[in-house]
Amino acid sequence: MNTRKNDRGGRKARSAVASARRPNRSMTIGVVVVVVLAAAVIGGVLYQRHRTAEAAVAVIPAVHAAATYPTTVDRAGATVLVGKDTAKVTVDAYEDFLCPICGQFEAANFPDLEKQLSAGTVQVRYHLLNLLDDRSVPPGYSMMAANTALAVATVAPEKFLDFHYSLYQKQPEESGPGWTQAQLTSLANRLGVSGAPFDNLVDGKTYDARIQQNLQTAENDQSLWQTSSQGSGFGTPTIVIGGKPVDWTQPGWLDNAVSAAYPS
Amino acid sequence: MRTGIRLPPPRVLDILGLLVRLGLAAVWLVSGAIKVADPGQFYTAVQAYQLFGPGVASLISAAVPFLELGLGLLVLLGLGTRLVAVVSALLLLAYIAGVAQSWARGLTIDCGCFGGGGQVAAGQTHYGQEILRDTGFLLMAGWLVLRPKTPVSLDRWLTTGRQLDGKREHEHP
Repeated sequence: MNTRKNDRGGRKARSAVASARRPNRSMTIGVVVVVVLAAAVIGGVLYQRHRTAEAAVAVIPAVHAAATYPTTVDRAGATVLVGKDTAKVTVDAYEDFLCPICGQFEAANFPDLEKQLSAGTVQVRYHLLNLLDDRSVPPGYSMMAANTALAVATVAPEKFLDFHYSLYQKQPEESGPGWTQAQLTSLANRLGVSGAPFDNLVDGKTYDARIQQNLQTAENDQSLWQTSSQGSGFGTPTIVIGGKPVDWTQPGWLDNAVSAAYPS
Repeated sequence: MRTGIRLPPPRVLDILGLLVRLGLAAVWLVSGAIKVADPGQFYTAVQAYQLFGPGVASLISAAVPFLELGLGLLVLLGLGTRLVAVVSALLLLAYIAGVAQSWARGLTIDCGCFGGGGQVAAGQTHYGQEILRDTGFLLMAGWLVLRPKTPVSLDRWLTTGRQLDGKREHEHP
């Protein structure tokens, strides 16, 4: 007990002495704390600016599909149909250029789709949607990319698949700035698509209204809904064959559809 | 100690204080690091609260992760513990208010406290647990506001230095 009392007494004496110059020292520490926290905040904002600036000067590499396939654009419906019109299987692909899972779908399945396109067994109808318009900063990347892709398909149908493929090969991050219109246009130009008709479609945002309408139609169409852990509803990608969504994560989904249409 | 409530011996309080300090440091460092690693995800999380326009949400998502790291670093070092604890408490109160208003408005979001965030399905919200967890962190910050002196801290190290100065000052006049 005695020792503890002594200890406490010692503490009090020490803190009394310590308080003699406390205001100065506390002030200095306070200033340091404020400076560190302000530096953290400012650093965070500068870091974000840097990331945005870096993304804005990046170039989307132009990549080419293995071959060119017959391509027609439905200008009123804002969809693009790729493949021979004698093909017995039609795959309807509902996609968003910002959607990471669409990127996974393309990466996993595009080679197989190309094989079937070459064989003339499959046609792919691309429905380019703006489901994730609010997931880019500034919002609207999905719409801009979809309109630009449709502009490419309108002016130079055979270049559409290359444009589509290039955008999925170098997808911008969700919740990031997305590609700018200048970057998208530059990609189209490097694929050989340019000129006044193309620029007019891009600048006039010609397909925006129809893309928006297609999204609403798809979201309200329960035959396109899928059930996941998040509940039931429409999402991208949705891959439809013969009016029914297919589970493209199951290997062989495309081969099964083809062999059903072409029994050997 | 003057309140008349019997407190555990100071040594025990010191050790508890140190644990609380290190715990709060871990909270801020982990939460800040996860957010810095995936800025896009955190922007989605901020946006989901539907409280700010895109510009403000972007600013918040840029600043907050580094603010958390800064707080974590300072509280780990034990520098300006009381002030850092006050700022921590204010930030946590803002988080609790944010989650509470989402709950009250019937939004279905994940708080994005430690990664994640954004919209979730109706049955997938955990507002109660999130508020409870943040309240726990708030209590830790509150402890350090009331009793900021802890062992192994820059504050204490600087205080020890000050005693020498103080003695010299006493001799001086």
